[in-house]
Amino acid sequence: MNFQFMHAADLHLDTPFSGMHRVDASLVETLRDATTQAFENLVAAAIERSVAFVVIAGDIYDGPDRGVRAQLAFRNGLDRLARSGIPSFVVHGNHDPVEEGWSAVRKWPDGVSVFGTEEVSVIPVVRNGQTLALVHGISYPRRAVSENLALRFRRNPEACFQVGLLHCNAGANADHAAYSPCSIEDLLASNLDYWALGHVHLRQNLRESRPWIAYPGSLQGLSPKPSERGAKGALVIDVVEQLVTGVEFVPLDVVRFDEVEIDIAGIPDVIGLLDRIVEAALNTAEVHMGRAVVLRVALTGRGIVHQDMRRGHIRDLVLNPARAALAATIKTVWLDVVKDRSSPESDIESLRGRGDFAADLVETVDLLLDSPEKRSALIATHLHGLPTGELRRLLGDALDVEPTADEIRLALEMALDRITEIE
Amino acid sequence: MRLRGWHVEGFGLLHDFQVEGLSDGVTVVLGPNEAGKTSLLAFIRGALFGYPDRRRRDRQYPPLRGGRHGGRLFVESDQSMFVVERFASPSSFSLTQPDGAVGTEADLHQLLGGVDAELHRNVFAFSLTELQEFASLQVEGVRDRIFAAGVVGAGRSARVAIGRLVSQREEIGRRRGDCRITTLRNRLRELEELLRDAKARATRHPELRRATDELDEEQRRIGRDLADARRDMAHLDALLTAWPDWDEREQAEKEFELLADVPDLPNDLGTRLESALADVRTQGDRHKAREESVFNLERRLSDLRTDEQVAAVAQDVKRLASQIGNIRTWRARVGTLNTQYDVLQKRLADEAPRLGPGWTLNSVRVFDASIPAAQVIADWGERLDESNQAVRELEDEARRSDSNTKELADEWSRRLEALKRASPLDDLQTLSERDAAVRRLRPRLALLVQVRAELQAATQRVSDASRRADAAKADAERIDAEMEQRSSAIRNSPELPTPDQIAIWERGVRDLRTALAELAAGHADLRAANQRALDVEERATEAEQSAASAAAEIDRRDKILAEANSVPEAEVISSGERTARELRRRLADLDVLSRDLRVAQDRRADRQRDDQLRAPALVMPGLKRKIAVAVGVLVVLAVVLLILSQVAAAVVAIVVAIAGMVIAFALSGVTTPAADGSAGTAEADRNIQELSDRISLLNESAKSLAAKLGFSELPDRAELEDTVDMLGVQYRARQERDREASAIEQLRVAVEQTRARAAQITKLARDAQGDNAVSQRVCELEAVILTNAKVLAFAELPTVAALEEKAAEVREFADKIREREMEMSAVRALEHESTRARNLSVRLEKEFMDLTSDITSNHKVRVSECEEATIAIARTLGLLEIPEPAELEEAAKQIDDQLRVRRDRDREVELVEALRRSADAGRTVVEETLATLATRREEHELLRANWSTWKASNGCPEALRPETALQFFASVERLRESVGQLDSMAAERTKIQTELSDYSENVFTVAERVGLPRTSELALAEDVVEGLRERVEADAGLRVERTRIGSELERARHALANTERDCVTAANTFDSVLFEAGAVDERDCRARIDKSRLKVDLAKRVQESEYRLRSRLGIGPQADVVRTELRSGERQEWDARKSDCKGMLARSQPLHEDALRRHQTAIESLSALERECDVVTIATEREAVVAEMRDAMSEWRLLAIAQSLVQSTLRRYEVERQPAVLTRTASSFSRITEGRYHSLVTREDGIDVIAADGSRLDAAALSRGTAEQLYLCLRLALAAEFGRLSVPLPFVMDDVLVNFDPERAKRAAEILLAAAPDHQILLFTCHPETVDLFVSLDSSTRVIEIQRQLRKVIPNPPDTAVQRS
Repeated sequence: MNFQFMHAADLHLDTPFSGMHRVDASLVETLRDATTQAFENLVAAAIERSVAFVVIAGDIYDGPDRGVRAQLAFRNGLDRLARSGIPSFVVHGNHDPVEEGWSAVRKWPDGVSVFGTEEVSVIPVVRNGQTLALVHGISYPRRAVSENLALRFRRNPEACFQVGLLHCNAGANADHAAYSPCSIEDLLASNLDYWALGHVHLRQNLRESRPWIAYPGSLQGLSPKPSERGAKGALVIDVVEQLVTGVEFVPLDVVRFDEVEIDIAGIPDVIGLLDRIVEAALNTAEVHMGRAVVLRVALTGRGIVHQDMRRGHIRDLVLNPARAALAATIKTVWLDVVKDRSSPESDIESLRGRGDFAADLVETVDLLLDSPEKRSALIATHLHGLPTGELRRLLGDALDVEPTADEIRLALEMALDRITEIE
Repeated sequence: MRLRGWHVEGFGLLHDFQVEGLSDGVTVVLGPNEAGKTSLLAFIRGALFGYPDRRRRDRQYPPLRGGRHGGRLFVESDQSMFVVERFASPSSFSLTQPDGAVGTEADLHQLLGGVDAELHRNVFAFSLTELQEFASLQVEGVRDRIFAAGVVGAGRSARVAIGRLVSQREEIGRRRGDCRITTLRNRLRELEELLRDAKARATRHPELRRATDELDEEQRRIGRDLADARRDMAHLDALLTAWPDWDEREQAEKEFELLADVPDLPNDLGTRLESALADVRTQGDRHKAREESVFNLERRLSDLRTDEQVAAVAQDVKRLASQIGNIRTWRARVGTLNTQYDVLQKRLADEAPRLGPGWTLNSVRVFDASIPAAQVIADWGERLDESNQAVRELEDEARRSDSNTKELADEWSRRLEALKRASPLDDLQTLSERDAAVRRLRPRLALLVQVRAELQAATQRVSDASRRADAAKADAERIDAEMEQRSSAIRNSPELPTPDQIAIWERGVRDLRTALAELAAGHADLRAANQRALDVEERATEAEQSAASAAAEIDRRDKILAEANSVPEAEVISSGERTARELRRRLADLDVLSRDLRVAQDRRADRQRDDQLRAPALVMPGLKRKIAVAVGVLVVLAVVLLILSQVAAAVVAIVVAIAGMVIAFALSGVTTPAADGSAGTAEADRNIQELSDRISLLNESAKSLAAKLGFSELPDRAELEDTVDMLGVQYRARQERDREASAIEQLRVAVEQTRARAAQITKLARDAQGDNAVSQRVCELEAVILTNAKVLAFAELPTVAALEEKAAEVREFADKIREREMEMSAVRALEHESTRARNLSVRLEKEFMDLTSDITSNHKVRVSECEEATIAIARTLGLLEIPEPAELEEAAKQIDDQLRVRRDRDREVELVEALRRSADAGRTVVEETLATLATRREEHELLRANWSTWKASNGCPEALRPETALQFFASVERLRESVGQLDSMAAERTKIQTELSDYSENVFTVAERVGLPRTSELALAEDVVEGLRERVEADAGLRVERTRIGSELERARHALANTERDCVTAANTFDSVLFEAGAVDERDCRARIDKSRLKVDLAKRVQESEYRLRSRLGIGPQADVVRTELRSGERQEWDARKSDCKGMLARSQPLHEDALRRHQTAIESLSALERECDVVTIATEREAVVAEMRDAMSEWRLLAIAQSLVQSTLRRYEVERQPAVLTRTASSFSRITEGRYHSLVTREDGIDVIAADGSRLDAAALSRGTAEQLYLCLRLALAAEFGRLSVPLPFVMDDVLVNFDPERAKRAAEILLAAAPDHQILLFTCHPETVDLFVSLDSSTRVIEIQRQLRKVIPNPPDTAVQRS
């Protein structure tokens, strides 16, 4: 029998966005509702496509402090699916383990299956009295699950399409915590037809033949990190004669994160730079087709405008004027940060032979880079001018780490800029 | 930069004091006390950097002896002169540049090599007082400027850069005070508080939501009841509103049925009848009026008579009359012309001879005085003038050229003689080569000095390196000792918990704090829940009691109802009412029909009486038609017989037909009334019969209805009304009884509902107590708290105070740990420092070795190479050894002088040659000019001869000149115009006389044609024409009137004919209307039309009623229901039901509004809670603030690293650059003190001097004179270093040698003189022996003396060493 089903994961309903700077009041509401709205979009898409069933592979909520609003939104969404005749299957992951946190939902609607934590359960999807598919799944009891749960999955003797639903780190992804770590071979050993995985926020197909193994990625990007950028959504899987014949990605997100680089070479002044930023924002808005976009701009390369930006703080010189310009043109793009990674027009290497203070400044940097002792001494003598008590609680030991080569290079440019500025 | 002079307009004691031509080297200004030396020093400082104003405590030196406060300095830079002018008034600064352009303060700043006022005051221009203060050299500005000059080149300052970095860094984060990180941290604390609060509030959400849902259900239920009641209300409204229309329609339908037999006539027939009648009358009146009009016109036409003889000459008379005006004008003109002609002819005869002998009027007429002729004469004049002018110009040119040529020749002779007398010189190339050699030699000498100094400095560095290596080693040992001491202190300190343990405790405290807050909230909720349960129980009891009392009320009212008298059922009463109403209508109809029957019978009797009076005529109206048909048949028969050739029969048939026609015509005049009377009677009979039938039918049905009401016979109206009233009373009683029954039933339902509600409330109360989630949550929380409390060593549930006590204890531990960590961090830093010090020691030792080898391998070799190269160049100038700078400059000056003289000589030779060439060319020009002059004179004479010939040939007087020719031509032209005027007068006079004669002839010819007598008098002719014209006009008027009346008559006749036709048409129209109505006359027609209209009106009423009903009820099933119900006609019942509905609505509406309000309030509370519990938004902002803090931190780190980089580099510079200044200072100081002190060492706050015996002495401890010598040397060294890196500036000192002993003063003077080639030196003194000292050491020393009585001073010329004044 031929059918379609949807695979989503990592909803993180009502999860606060992180890594962004504070936003305009107009965007606050959009951000607040973004995760729940993305889930609403998932429900609407499933109903519109009349899929046979929906599987959700963990991390529905962000932590034990799951909010009432998020739980109600989730319950109501699944209820709508059930009333449309679409069963749904849910496992819990490391962010919303069953035994941690609390549940505002005492009874799930009919047609909603939440897998337990004791063992891998197998639940059939029945249509017109005929078993369409079997869904295998298990939830996390607690946050830290180090057991390879994939090894517990075994194909059922019944001859129908079989799906494995699991929250895990498959293939030792270094960017994510190693919860329920497993290998591709472990997954193959179960002899299922499709592995609906969750945990990795970046969408990826680990295998594109039987069994198809896929991470749909998070349903809504949650921070400006690379793995959270770009389109987010769910997968629609076509099954023909018990074989996966195609996997389609359906974007369902409400807010997107993006970053663009602008090479400052050839930009004559700050006004020109603002024009380029607005142009980049326009392109971004076009790419994301009218969705709200949180955009970061990184300035790179060498150019004369680098010097102009040193005349004040980049926030006042570039970021705020650019935000004002965008507010007047494209309201869907919010400029989060403008990072200045640009360099002065002249090459630092060219300073070495000049024999002046700048040359010796460069030489000082060379000495510093060559000497770990000097770097440590730098921390001891110069990096302890802050009220560090609370900062340490928030930022960890970021203050105490030795300056990196990049930091020293940027500091050198900053020092040279100040010297030149005074000159 | 060099100072070349000044002009003080007014400054302290100085007034109009000018000095110019100051040279390089040393200049001594000698003057007694109060001569103005200190003022001069202040003036130089002020002119360069601005005078002190009143805001500063510095002395301002107002002009005591007049003049404007200020003046100007003359300075030279790069061999260009600048004038710096500055006065004390604002904006009075100017800098005049070599090209005359005006410069700015910035340009002056650049001239001064970027030095500022403070640096200049402390290093370059100072008094004795300032010399004595070492502090002046420690001023940060001085240090900065000196070291900054060494550090980052002209004008840069690493210290300023550090200051800015520090400022930026502190703006982001600092230990105390406001900064960005503090602001962010405060916001973060607020957000975390909000977050905790929001999470705590979120627990109330499910309960609120449930309450909201219940209220929603309640308001929906009441809303449904309300909607039902409104629907009923609308239905009853529809019934009651539709009833009048329904009733009216019923009535109209009945009346319509009575007129069913009346024929339908067209709607407009009445109108057409009226119109036809009016038309008949109008046309008759119009015909009569038109006949009268025709008669009147015919009479007026016959009265008009015309004259044919006058009409024949009418055109001629008009033409002649139109010419009368011209004839009169011409007659007057002939008289005027005669007079003017005579006068003009006489004047011309007198003027013609004045033009010349033999000139007559005929001569004037033929002379050519045209414009071309005048132009030819003008051309002659121009050519003669040009020729004459050319001759004169050539004469002047010849004279001028001759004079110039003579002057050039004289100048050439004079300069040639001078050249021959001049002395011989070397050639230019030789001199240029020598000059180039001097230029090459200068930098060589400077380089030599430099490499020698470097060699000396390197030697000094070697000793410094050795010393610094020792110091580094000692530092390392000191740091090791300190490190050991602090490490042992840490080891001996008491044991502390681990940071992890502290973190666990802190987390435990935080969790417990939150949990305790939640527990408190849980307890509050629990109390609230119990209270709610009690409230609910109370409400249930109240509901039960309310239900019991309502049940008692029901029983009571049931009994009353049962005891009441029996009343027929509502349907029975309604049926009776309907029957009574129907009976009432039937009786009314019977009355109407009976009245109609009586009227019809009366009419029939009247008609019968009329018929009897007109008895003879009983022929039916149809007979006439039958006779006409028979005649027609006979005519046809006759025609057929004729065709068949049966003539006799045809003739008989024709005779019979004619007889029939005659009879028919005879009958048509008398038989119509009789026929009409018979038909009317029959119609009346039919009508009476119909009415009788309908009355009997109605009577039967009425009786049947009366029987239903219990009457044996038809009741009269009063009986019927009594019956109706009785039925009304019964109906109201029935309604009252039904309402009571309904109210009892409603009460019964309400009791049931109240009991069910009470049961539900009781169940809710039980649920609230039994399924108490809050209680469970409180228990769970307590369990969690107990678990967590164990972490903090609490045996039982802790109180908030105990927890806070524990938290303080944990914080204390954490602080101690942090202190220890900082101490350990400091120890680690000391370790790093120790390592660094050891590394430094090793590096310095290596540096010592490197420097030692560098001296032998580099510096010495460079010195010898430099010396050899210098000697090689010096030999090209004829010098055998390395020359002294003064020697070289002397040689350079001589070569410069020789080069200048050589160039002047070469320019003079070129000038003499050029003069010679000019004189030769002048002579040639003079000769060529004279030849041209002779040719031009000949051409001029030939032109004059041609002019005379032309005059003769054109009739002009010989004496005529071109310039007077135009005047002669004008005279001739004026005379000729007068002659032309005379001729035209004569021609005009002749023409007018001919015209007058022709006119008279024409007039009299016309007069004859109308029979008037002929005459030749012109004046009479004009009268004749006037008379004829009047007669012609009168005749034409008559003819026009006749034509107009004729046309009018024609139109009137035509109109009369039309009116006759219209009369016939109107009569026909009237007849056709009567025929259409089937009426015999106008009255009959009107009656028929009225009945038809009544029928139409009734049909319209039915339609309109139906239309209104439809518009009120619409169509469809609901409307059908209403219509069905309307047929019953139970209006009173509807009224009663409507009243009930209204009551129901009035009761339910407030209930519904209240329910809605409570539901809305609940929704708002829920929304408010959701807003307050907007954890996502708060948490997102918290994350954003943390991100911003992280960014601020990164930025802060970058700034700190940048600051560290600049500081490290700057320290290195201070270490590496300082020796150069100190070395120079030590060298000079050692020389002054004859080696008593040989070197210097700087400290953070001062300088130590190293004596020959190796002892070290603070400079502040030196004697006054020795300290001043040290500070003088230090300033000289700083100035030299500054000059090396930027611009050498003049060194100005005011009496700085007074405390030196003679020996040291002499050696100081030697040092100053040695520095003078690099720095211009100005020394102010009041001691003549100081002047003597400098002059004895260097005879080229310039001396300027100033007295207390000031005046303008010119310095001594270069070849005079001393000038005293």
